[in-house]
Amino acid sequence: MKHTALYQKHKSLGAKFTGFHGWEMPLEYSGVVHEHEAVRKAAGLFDIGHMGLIEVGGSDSAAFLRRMLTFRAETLPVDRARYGFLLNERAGIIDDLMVYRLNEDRFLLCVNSGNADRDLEWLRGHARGFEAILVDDSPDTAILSLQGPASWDIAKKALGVDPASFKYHAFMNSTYSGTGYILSKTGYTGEKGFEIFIHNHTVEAIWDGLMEAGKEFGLVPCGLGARDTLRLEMGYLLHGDDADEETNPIEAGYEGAVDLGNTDFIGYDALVKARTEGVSRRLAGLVLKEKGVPRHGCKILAGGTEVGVVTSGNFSPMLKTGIALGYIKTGAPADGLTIDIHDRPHAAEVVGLPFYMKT
Amino acid sequence: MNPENLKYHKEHSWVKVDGNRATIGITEYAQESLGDIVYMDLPEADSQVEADGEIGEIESTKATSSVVSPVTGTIVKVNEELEDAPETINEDPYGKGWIVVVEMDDASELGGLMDAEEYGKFVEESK
Repeated sequence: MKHTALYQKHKSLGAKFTGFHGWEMPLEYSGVVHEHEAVRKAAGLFDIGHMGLIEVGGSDSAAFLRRMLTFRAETLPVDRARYGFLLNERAGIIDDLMVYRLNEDRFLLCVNSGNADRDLEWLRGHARGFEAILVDDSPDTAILSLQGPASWDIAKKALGVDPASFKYHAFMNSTYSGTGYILSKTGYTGEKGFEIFIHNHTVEAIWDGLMEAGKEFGLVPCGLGARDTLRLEMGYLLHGDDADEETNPIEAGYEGAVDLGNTDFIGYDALVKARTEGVSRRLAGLVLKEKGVPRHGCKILAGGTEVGVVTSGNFSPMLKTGIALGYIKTGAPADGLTIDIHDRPHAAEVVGLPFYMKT
Repeated sequence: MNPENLKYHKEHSWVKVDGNRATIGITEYAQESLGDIVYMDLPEADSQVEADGEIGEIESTKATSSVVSPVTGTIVKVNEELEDAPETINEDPYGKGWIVVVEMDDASELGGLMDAEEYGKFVEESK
């Protein structure tokens, strides 16, 4: 099992661990529901150092990424981040990722941990003919995620930065104890918050600094359990569960995240074809109308006929009910839906995403 | 921490015997491992259970887990409080978090269960 630079810190905090794509990561500290509520109402700090980081440099880096990603990389301003996909020729999603433009000729790709090797191999396999250099930044870079309504106050106090000085999906460079880091207004929870990219050797210091500053704001350490329930309440995809190389962005409900102004990316033709011809299934959000917890693999039925399958499901701590993402056949009736949980049908209904919205 | 007056099953359920009736729940170790319990799929009263068979499903924010009956018999009582407050199992697994009461068919099955000390060792070894 691989460990992040904060492994001993998590142990000393009494974390329960879980295996995740070869990494032993904190699952929870004080309990998933407590951590989830802290992020919705105060703030939570996550170690997400398992995420993959790939740096793309060189004079053709923007042109190369235009070929590889579902937007026009050359139009992404420096110090801004954007969500995109790596697609195969069939427009299947190899990975979903955040792309940070570090300067004119340098981009940072933050990718799912389980896909990092595959992504790097895919990118390297298509780099021929481009003046582009690919570097795996994961081994020495730590990533923290500070999320929740209090995260601005905490960042101000602990880091001395002004979060109001830069926009959502933008980032800034600063230093902590003499070590440079990136503070990015991004996240995976639907709350205000930041992600911090810093060298392994300083991550413990910045973690401690944030936790200390966050005490008065109710900051708690959070594990992957809450990370999953938080993202599910927002309807965000978890690649591997809700999307894979057999799923295209239209089926996954992310057509809007693809910039078809870029006609050069791998998978463009297949994606346009899928858009023209229509898709046979689409990702939907489902809420249970009775008690129960839907899980990955549960069947979705309409009037007793199978019409789909749940890809992610759990209990929503905010809505206090079972929620799920799942693929439903195009044209299936919207009424009389049920989800089979432990071989028993549970009434469910399709809802718009996100499941949870701040009031 | 595991009460002395209970018997324990290797699937981390406990049984408290009172005459021919057995109250069943899950252990401290089980609730701790499951994490936040968000739903308990309870069985119907009057249904039959087998020793080593499933009584119901517990859903936590992490996973689904079966509750295994240590004894064979008829379910005569179900803790309906758990319908609305499944977290009671986390808070008080040996008390208010009991799950069912079973009228036992064969009390000799209790002989195959562990006492508190044996169960304590069993948990340590399986960690």
